Amino acid sequence: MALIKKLDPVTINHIAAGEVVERPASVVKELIDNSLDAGATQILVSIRNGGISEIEVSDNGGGMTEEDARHCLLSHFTSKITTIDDLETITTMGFRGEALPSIASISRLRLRTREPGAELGYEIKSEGGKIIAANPCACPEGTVVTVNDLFYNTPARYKFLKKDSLEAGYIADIMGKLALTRPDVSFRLLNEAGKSILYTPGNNDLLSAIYAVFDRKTAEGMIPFENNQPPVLLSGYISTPENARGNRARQVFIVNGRNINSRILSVAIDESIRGWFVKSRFPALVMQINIPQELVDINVHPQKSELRFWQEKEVFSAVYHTIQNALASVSGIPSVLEPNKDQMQSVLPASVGSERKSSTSTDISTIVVDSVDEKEQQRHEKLPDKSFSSTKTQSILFNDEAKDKQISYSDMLPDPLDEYIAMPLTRPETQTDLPEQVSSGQISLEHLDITGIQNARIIGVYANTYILLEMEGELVIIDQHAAHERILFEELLSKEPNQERKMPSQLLLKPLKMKITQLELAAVTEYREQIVQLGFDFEDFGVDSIVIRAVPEVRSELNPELAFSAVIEACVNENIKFANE
Amino acid sequence: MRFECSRTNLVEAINTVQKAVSSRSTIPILDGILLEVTDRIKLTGYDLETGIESKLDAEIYKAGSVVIKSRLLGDIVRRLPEEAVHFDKDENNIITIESGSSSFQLRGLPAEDYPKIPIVEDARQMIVPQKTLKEMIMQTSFAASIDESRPILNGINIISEQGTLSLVAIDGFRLAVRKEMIAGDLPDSQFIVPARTLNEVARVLEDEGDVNIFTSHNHILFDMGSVLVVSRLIQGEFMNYNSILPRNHETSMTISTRNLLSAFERASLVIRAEDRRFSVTLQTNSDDILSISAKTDIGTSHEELNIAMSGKLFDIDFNPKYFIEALKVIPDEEVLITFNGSLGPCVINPVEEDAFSYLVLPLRR
Ligand SMILES: Nc1ncnc2c1ncn2[C@@H]1O[C@H](COP(=O)(O)OP(=O)(O)O)[C@@H](O)[C@H]1O
Ligand SMILES: [Mg+2]
Repeated sequence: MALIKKLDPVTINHIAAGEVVERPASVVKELIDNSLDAGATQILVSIRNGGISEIEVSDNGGGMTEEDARHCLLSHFTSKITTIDDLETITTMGFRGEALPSIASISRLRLRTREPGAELGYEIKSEGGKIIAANPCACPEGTVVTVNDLFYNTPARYKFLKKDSLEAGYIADIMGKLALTRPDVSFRLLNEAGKSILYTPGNNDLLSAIYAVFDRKTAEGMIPFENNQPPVLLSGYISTPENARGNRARQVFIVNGRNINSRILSVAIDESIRGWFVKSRFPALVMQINIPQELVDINVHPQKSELRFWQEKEVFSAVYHTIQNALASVSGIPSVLEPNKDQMQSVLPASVGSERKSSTSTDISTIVVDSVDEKEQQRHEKLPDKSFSSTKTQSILFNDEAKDKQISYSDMLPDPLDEYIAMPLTRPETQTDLPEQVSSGQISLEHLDITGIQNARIIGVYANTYILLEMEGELVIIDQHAAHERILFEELLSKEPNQERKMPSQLLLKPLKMKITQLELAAVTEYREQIVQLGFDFEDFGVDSIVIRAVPEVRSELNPELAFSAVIEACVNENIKFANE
Repeated sequence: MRFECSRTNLVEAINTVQKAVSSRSTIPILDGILLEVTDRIKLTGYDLETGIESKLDAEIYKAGSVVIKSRLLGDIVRRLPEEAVHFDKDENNIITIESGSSSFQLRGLPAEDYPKIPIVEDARQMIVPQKTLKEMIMQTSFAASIDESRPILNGINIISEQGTLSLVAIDGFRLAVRKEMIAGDLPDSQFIVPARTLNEVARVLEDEGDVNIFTSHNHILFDMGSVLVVSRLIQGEFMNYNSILPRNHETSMTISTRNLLSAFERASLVIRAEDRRFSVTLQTNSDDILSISAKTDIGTSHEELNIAMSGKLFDIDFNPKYFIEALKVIPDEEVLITFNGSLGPCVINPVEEDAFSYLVLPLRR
């Protein structure tokens, strides 16, 4: 009764493919990683139908021998590590030896490769992972991988693909980020019409790459930062408040050459820009972080994009101070809070440091009680039933992905007095540092699984900004302002699907021009109808901007740009469910 | 420090300066009111953005100064039994407050630790009648944005140009402007003042006398005699309202201010506050009757008002709140309202004069 069988390799790859390849952009990423590992200095990507019909990546890297070429489509063949110990010192992008086999298993793949100086190249063709041809061929030095008909044999996956333009947007987005990790390599992305969508010069100048990937205005308005103090070495550029954006889409973190996402880095940035950036506005930023390899764990996720630091406290504090110093060093920045350090320092009583310490550490309940005045309380007591109770909309706008990533930041904070002097504080009531760091279970709203919130008890509102909730025995703090637009949209989105009328739109006094990335543009175009149904009115304005003419009739305190940013984010992350879907 | 003063005057001064005391500061001393005694008593509240000073007369026995928790001081003084209040402070900053047979002892903070209110240096000066400024603030500040992510729109643009003073507030959806000719010479200048500060100033302004306004690059000071308000200015460029106000219109009508206000208020009764899907519709079928209606899940409302209209008939949706707030601050009996179709700007002016203009954009259906 042999019911248990060993799967054949093709099936295994097929299954693995699901982990590695989610959409065409993941293929592009894996292939570019391989080109970079092969030492390429020029990488050309061309796509057809958003990469669904074809993705071709050619590089001028070291190529492969005939034998390697035959092996590389078999799983766990890698030239990059041999034993587990090598993982500690890994410097290449790939190491698992599963990308090519996975991609091959769900597409028609053709690989041509020639080592520099070799007389002939070698060509391999596969279909659904089965090699159907392997022969010597004439081809340029380097490697060309052509992937056709992605997901042709996995209809379930195919069905989840978005419109070509949106898939192309995801490709442009990921490629832009990769290009920023390697300013020494020239990247080019062509669409089917042969139009260049992205081009970086590869002149080893990060600012040139930023110019190419973001835009000129952002690049020109950026200020450099650097930290040479081991173990956390930092360098890069951050935009000034004039070029602030409504979301974090243009924050790129590169750790030891790898583009990664990290909750702790985002939080460190958010903290460090307080007082310089208006609430809910974010800088564009490219940050290169070099940290001894043994202090990071990249073996976390197959797509290797979420990273764990072993010494979070050091990382947090290095990022925090470096960014603060950079912003403070540029005197021309009109801080939203008019930094008035001289005056402040002189008036700070000697006891400030210790006072603050006590208020940042423990005694939350007292602070809350002390500071919530009745009017506020009334105002916010209305919040929960309206905004958190609707069950229908649980998934809207919230990633539930990051529940396991709650970290306590309380002990990562720089020394309080230090911070006082470094921070331009003129409006303590909005600029207090209490909230984010008080709790052991702090979660920011965008990473909050909203299901839990329905059982939460609102304790109060601190500093008119933070909502304090008790949830499953933990204190949860929400930046109310960041939450504000989301709450409004949750309300909007939860309206009956069969409503006969669309939301009325409040026209703006002046149409608002807003910078937008290619991916974002593709995403809002994809969901245009639904967004209009919500009450927005917008149109394209050139390749990198849109113009907003009207917003849903809501409260007057709605900031059109932030509201639209929230919608964009939801569209890009596809965690939006529109009422009429 | 030792003095005796009237409870009524002290309460009034405390109420005034408390508006500038931050109740949630992480710097403990900012929760306090600074009490300085020289030949008069001066109270100061300062949240590092807005500072208010109020002076009052008293029987002074000994000069000195101290900082006292604002809320506590207010609560105590308001409840003191007698009109005569006696203050005394020892060298350890312990304050004794006595009135009738009741007595309190409070721990104060050293006055040296209290931040200095910025001095408005190299200032330009303007002299404006208090009553005028008060009206101008009342007619504009409601239209400023309260969204902190747009700091410039949290302010009111004060423009002085060729003897005319204008206050402008914009929240992105509507615009309120109030102009006034000011006698005497008024230097040309313009700056942005937090609407919050101006609301505090308006509270103090009286119907008589002048207010002296001093501005420097960063700060503005309103001197109203016994009360002084200082505030940070908002830096940045304000929207040019002239480019927003339309030159032409398709329709104009005159209507009774009060009748229109009540009609809007009645129509909004069928719109639940939390439901923003619905609007109030203004519509004409002839040139002498305006119909105002709303239709929602709860019910409908409809009424008709007499108007004098010229130009095209119209059928336009509006957010009732935007009309109500504006009509409330217009004392004139009749307003002239111009329309530019269902998507163009609508402008409200008092019929008699053009000192006040209010622009609002319709809702698109
Ligand atoms: N563009 C390329 N140039 C040279 N060698 C390549 C290229 N792409 C893949 N290879 C070879 O194929 C192997 C398998 O690639 P892959 O499946 O992506 O696994 P990994 O990158 O994890 O090693 C690599 O280790 C490398 O030796
Ligand atoms: Mg690889």
